[in-house]
Amino acid sequence: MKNIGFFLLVLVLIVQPAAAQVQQEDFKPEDMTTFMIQVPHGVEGNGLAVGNNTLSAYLYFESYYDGNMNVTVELDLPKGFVLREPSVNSFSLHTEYDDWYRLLDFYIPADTPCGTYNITAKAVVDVEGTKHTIVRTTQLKVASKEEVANEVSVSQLIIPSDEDGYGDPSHPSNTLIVQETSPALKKLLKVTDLKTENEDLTTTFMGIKLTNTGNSTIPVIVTYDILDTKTGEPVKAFKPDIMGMNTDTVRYATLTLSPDSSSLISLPMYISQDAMGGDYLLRVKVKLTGSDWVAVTKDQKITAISRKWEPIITTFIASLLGLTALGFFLSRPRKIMDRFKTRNLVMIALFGTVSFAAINLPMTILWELSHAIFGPFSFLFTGLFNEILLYMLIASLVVLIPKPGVISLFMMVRFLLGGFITGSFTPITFITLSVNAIMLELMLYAGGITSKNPAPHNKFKMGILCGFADMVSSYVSFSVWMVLYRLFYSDWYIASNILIDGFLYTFIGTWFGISLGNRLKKVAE
Amino acid sequence: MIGARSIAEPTIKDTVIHRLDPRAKILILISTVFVAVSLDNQKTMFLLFLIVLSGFVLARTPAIKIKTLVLLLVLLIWGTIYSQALFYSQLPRTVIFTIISPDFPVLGWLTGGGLFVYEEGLHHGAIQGLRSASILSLGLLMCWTTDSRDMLNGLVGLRVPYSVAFMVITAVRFLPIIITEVATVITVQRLRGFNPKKFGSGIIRTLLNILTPTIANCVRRTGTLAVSIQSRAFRANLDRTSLKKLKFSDIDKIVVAVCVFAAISIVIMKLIYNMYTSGIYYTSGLRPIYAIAGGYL
Amino acid sequence: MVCGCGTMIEIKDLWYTYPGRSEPTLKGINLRVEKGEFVLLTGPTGCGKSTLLKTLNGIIPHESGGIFSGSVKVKGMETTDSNHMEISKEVGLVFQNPDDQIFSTIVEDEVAFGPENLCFEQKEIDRKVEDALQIVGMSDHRFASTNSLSGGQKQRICIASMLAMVPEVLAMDEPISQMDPVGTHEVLNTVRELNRKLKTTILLVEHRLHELAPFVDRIVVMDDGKIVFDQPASKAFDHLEIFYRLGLRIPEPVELCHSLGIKASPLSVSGALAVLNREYFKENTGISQPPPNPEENTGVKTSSRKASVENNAFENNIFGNNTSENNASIISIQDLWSGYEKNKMVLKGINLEIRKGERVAIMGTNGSGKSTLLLHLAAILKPYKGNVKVFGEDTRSKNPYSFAGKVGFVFQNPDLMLFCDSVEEETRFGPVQLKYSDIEERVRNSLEAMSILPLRHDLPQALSRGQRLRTAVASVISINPELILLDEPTTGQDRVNIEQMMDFFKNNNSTLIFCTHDVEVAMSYATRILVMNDGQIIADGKGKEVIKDTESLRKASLTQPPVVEIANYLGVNAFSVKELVKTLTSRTVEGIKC
Repeated sequence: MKNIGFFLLVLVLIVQPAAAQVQQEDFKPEDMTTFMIQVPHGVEGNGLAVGNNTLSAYLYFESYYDGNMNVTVELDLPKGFVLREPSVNSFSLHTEYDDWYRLLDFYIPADTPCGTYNITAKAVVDVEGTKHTIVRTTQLKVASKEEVANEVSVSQLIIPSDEDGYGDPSHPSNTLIVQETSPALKKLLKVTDLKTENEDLTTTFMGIKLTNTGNSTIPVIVTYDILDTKTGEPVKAFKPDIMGMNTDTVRYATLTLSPDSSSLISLPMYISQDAMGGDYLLRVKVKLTGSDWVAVTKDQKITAISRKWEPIITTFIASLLGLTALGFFLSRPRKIMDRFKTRNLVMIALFGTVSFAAINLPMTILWELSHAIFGPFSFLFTGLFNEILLYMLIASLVVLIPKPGVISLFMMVRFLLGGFITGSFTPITFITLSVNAIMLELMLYAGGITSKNPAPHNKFKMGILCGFADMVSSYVSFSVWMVLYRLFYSDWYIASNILIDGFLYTFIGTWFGISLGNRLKKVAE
Repeated sequence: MIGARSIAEPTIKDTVIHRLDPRAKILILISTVFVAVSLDNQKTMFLLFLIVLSGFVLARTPAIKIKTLVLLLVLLIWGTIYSQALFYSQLPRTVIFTIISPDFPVLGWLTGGGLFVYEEGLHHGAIQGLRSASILSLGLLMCWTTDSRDMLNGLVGLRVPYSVAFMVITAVRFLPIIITEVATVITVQRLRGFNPKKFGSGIIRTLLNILTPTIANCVRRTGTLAVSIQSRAFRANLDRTSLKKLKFSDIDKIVVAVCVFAAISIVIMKLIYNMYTSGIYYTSGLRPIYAIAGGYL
Repeated sequence: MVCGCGTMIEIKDLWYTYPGRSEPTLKGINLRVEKGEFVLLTGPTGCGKSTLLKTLNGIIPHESGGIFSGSVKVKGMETTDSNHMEISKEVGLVFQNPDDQIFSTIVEDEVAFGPENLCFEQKEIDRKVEDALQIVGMSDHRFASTNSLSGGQKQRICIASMLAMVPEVLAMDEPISQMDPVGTHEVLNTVRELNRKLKTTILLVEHRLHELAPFVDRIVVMDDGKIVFDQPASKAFDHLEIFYRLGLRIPEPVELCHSLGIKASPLSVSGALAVLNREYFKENTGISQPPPNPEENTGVKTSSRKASVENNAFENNIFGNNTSENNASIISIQDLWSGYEKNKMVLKGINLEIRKGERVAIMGTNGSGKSTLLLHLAAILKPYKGNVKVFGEDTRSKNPYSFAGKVGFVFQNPDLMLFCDSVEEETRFGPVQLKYSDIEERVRNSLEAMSILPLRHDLPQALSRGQRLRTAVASVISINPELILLDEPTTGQDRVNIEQMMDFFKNNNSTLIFCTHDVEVAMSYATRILVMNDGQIIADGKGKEVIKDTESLRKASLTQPPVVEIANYLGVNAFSVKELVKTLTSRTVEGIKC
């Protein structure tokens, strides 16, 4: 009996391939293929379309049969629909999981009566000479544009939102924050746990609530654009490339709106770091899936707030420095002032007066006048006063009184004098002058010019030191203007100011100031 | 004619503004500066500006000062408008005039793609100009209604060391003298055939020519003044007494308290609001503050 | 005047060398001043008199450093050992230029500064300020702005600011040298009152010896860091050699008497008249009404100059105008009104014609409009109303640059004119700018004319005061302008410098217009004198005519030189000591003959 069993087992194993062969021949089209039609493309189930519109029908065929098959697919459109491409497509599939798909554009004429139409796709599968037919039918409802537009609406836009589209009350609505992404700052923000966005661009979300008040299912694609309110053109900074891909490919959502329902979706918003602040127009577009026709648009004015952290932090640090220096001075005024003889104080005061008479007063008028004449290049002219003349005074004062603190006192007199005469006790003047004084004091002390054995006669050295100090204070000055007074300055303008006024003019002023100081020293003697 | 004198000299009258203690004025100015810097709302900024201007009416400011104020404000606001028209970097922006076209050799590249006058920049400049205009106006109001020595006493009362105050008052005292001297120096050189208008390499020479005699005179003056001051026991004592003692009246106290409180409140509200808008800190309990700051500040 | 209450200042063998210098400035000074004494310390520029003053309140050596030896005691306190505050209370210092001493904007603050530093109570400070201002006659100006005061008022404030500290000694360094006649009058009156009423010891440094001599008890002369002469004022002029040798101006009455061989040294006009009456001319002159005592009338008396310039007045008035009368008109002013504010006109309807070759002195007090008039001539100011034509061109459409090369201007403070690196460059600047061809020659000539050729490589700003003036003048004359304007060039300058400059202009036949307070300089060098008062010309004519017009002089707070006054009383026509001596001598001879 055992032997018979063994024999049967061997027999089965031997005939197994033959059995398989038999199985191949036993081709079941519904089981061994997938044949699918979507009209329009992307819609599972019945579609919706409007007249005078071009749609794509999506045909998909996949084989699970491990062998050759020749397939002929034929699309049968209702009468009146105009197929742009051949209705019959033939192809061969050779292995398991081999597939074929095609988008077939067709046009629904404007005069097509509203109603539901059947669209049939027929696939004739020829497997080893045996033909099998598979038929798929879907329905396409042709509705009027008005009908669709009335039924679908964008009932709410939530900007910014969380990833699920829900409103985030921790952010002001309709507002986008443009974050700065400088490398140094990123580190700082990471350390301070302020930065959560990715490295290159800011990402946030918007929630879109869509409502379908009709009684048919409406498949839609939702997308958006951020437009310049003036030109109506999309703004590039909100369409940055992501890993080499156009943002359009990732910022859309498809969904099917069930009858009489609302759906909340979220879409990502990408903001590149060079995006400008200001007002924009957010335009959300709802298209019927598979169609280019925009069924619904919803516009929303949004505001982008440009948060440049570098100037903010610079201003903060500069203010802190200024206040610290002031606090230091006020905590031990006598000790500091006793380092100066009365004649030193008088001389500093008079230098302060000269600087006010020769720089501040003429600049009151000339500043604006030169702007009118030289425009953005007026700094080349105003720098003659604000830098060359000022540093002539500073350098000559340091030559006459080479002590630490002399520049701070000079700046203090300038600040208070400005306050006394024109009431300019402004934060800008305070921060700029104090940072200027601190930088100069540090540089000159470190450079041995005002140290214990003062050496204020090296024009080159002092010129370089003052130049660097002034570059820093120029940058701080711009930052303070931008942050506290919300003024804009182009990068090239800031850079040229820092280089030419901040460094070059300062260097020249210092150079000649030392000669002047040496001459004055002879007068003082 | 609007000259240095009309900018610098106070007009002494007996008005509410004049009667305020200089320390009170300085504190009010500082408070206002903080408020002006904090504000973003156009209407509120304009309101602040109007409030400051009303001070000039209360102080019965003479016409020449008003003229000076108007000139300075026009220049200031014009300056802001002009710069912002060029550098405005918000959208939307509409080019109304091209100064340097992007394909202009060198300059087009240097300016990072040309230089334009933007319509929205003009508007932004005018709005932002209000901020500095408020600060400038209040500063001038303070100066024009306070004698400089009272201001000095005010500063000393606010713990500015006397030596510093002495330097400032010396600087103020010599200002008209030095202005006259600078003018004389320029005239002297013009009479000797020198044309200081000449721009270019001669500019440094001009500056030196003006500075050298002016400062040499100052240096010479320094010796005498220092000796004169020392002979009057300057810094001979650790302390010093004062002939003038400032009195902080009840009105001063109330005004200062209101201003300082308002300033601190506004600054804090604005800080909270900015932290909220920057995504740094949010709590639902502060919603009323967000609403006020967003709507009015 | 000496009260004999004890020694106030005692200086023994004082030597002092400034830091960085090898030569001592003070070389063994010995001086004793009694309480209540009024001592005039004089001497040529650079003799060390100002330095000596600074040793009195310890500024030297405490603040200045340098090498100090010897002893300076004030009220028995050694200044080197005492602290700054103690000495400050005892010695008040007043300097030449009040503008360089006042640091406050309000009079009250300036005067209160000292007592505040000395930590007096508020009430006490208030009282001291009031007292001090009262003493100097400035009580009404307590709350005035210091910038609004005249020179004399400012100097009185400087004195008051010292007096508020109630010092026993008032040390004054040339306090009147920059004053106009009114200012000088005010300051001297104040000082005299202090000395008389409060018995304040006064040590006053001044080279205008001739003006101060009548007021002081004692005259001390310094030269080269040493005291070379120390005599009571009454005997000081018995021997004049030392004064002549050191170039010090002697009071005209003294000079007159000495020239006449009279052994007397009267310091005032009345004194001189008394002596003259007594000695020689009693019968001939018959003085009916002697002038008031100078101590009652402290108006400034200008005096004569040394013999070499005495002829100037004569020559100027005889020939000067005659030669220029036919010359072309350079300046023509018609109904000139000018001012900084509409209701405060500085010039009120000036009409003036000045011809080539004229040397015009404009005299008057500060604020009379002299400088403003001068500024109009260089097109620096423009008329509010009327016309100013310079070289036939209306200045309204011109600026100073348009007259560069034609008009030379020497400002009151020549320091503001010096900006180059060397004296030579300074002189070359104008000709180079104006692109003249013979630059080197011009430079050399002007340097030689001002005797500064040896200094040509020096830094102009670092020169002495006189040298700086001469450099400034050289910088103007190197352009060889057709018209030269001088704004109070004599202020604060010593005689040698003034003479050198004025002699040059005179010898060069330059057309010159200069403002001055110094009647003597005007008489010596001007072919024509304009007297201005309150924006108007109240006298215009030859020197001799104007100087006789006592009414106009009085309006302009000017007084006749003592010698003219004496001549008037004597009923003779003389405008200098030499002329008067000549007249009187000839009259005596005639009298003897008769």
